[in-house]
Amino acid sequence: MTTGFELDLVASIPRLRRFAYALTGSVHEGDELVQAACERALRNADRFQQGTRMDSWLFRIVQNLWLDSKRRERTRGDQIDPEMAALSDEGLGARRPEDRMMLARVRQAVGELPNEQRLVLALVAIDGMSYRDAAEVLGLPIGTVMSRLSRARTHLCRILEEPRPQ
Amino acid sequence: MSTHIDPELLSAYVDGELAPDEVGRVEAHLPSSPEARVMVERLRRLNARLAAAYDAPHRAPLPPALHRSVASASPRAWRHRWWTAAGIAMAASIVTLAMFLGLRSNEPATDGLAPGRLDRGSALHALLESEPSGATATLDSGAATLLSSFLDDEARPCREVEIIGDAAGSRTQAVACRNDASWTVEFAISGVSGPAESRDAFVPASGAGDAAFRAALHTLGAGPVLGPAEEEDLIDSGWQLR
Repeated sequence: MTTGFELDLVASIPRLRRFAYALTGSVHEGDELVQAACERALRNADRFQQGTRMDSWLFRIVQNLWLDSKRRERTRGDQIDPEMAALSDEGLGARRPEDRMMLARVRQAVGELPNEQRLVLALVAIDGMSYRDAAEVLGLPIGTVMSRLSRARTHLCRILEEPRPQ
Repeated sequence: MSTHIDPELLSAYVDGELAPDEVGRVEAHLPSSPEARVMVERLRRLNARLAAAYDAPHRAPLPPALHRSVASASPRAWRHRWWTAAGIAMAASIVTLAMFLGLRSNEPATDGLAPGRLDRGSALHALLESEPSGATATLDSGAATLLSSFLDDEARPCREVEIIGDAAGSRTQAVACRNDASWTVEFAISGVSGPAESRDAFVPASGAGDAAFRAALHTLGAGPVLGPAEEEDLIDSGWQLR
């Protein structure tokens, strides 16, 4: 019998994939992250409190797995080439070459944000979560969410509105 | 009014997160502040770009690793269905994800049940092509029994096969469909629990694999099970529909 838990889990996958893509900058890596998150969610299904928000719980799992991987990355010293990651949207993004280049620049700029700003941006500006929901996922006061978001956006606007250096 | 614009306030305004009275104050301020208007425009443009920049997962089919556990079904069966109710009904597949992640190979199917076109010389192909439901054959992977025949939503003949493996308790339910005179395994779900004697592919049974199987059938657009006479006609005619 398919449980409500499983249905909710699968229903969240599209959003989780987009969130993971925003965090990692790579569709493939993002999907691996989501897969790992699903495995963890299934293993810890008994820890999920019925009646609470499944999507918040899942986003938090993705977030934690991502932060873990970033920590491991730092100590290992190998980095994904941001240029490569930014350009790859598997050809599925925008249509015109100049649009695709702009979107690649967007992804690159997001990839250069500090982790904490990237997280907030991914939840609010990309997933479209409310400030309150994002605050709940991140375990932060709403004010902190707002200030990190604003800093991220100010930075991105500045970088992206400048003409590309030739 | 001061010319200092609070970026946080404008950010919240563009996100629709301000209380109505705050919205009123911002909008009263905007006409007199070109700087604020530019900022609002930039924020909106950035939002649009962010949405487009991370669009790819929604436009791409679900990658094999995420649905391999249910069935590495043919792209056609999955492509437009994932976001629909039927796709979401595949939820059961997620439970089995942990069970057999990484166990499915991508090799072309012979007698094995990896999805894909079957070798015409294989025992399974011969079984599908010529035998009525209820017939069995011994494959490398175990004992196969034909359970039912039906047409999918493109009027392709399809057949449900159950394979009891040599490994204890291993039971696989698969569906193969006939294209251009050869059979292709559309999906195969392992670890399906429940009684093995059910001939009706649609009978609910316990276990997440069964729910996944039902959902996969739904996605295929499986029609009703064909009766024995209909099935016999089809087999005799070489699976030609009149």
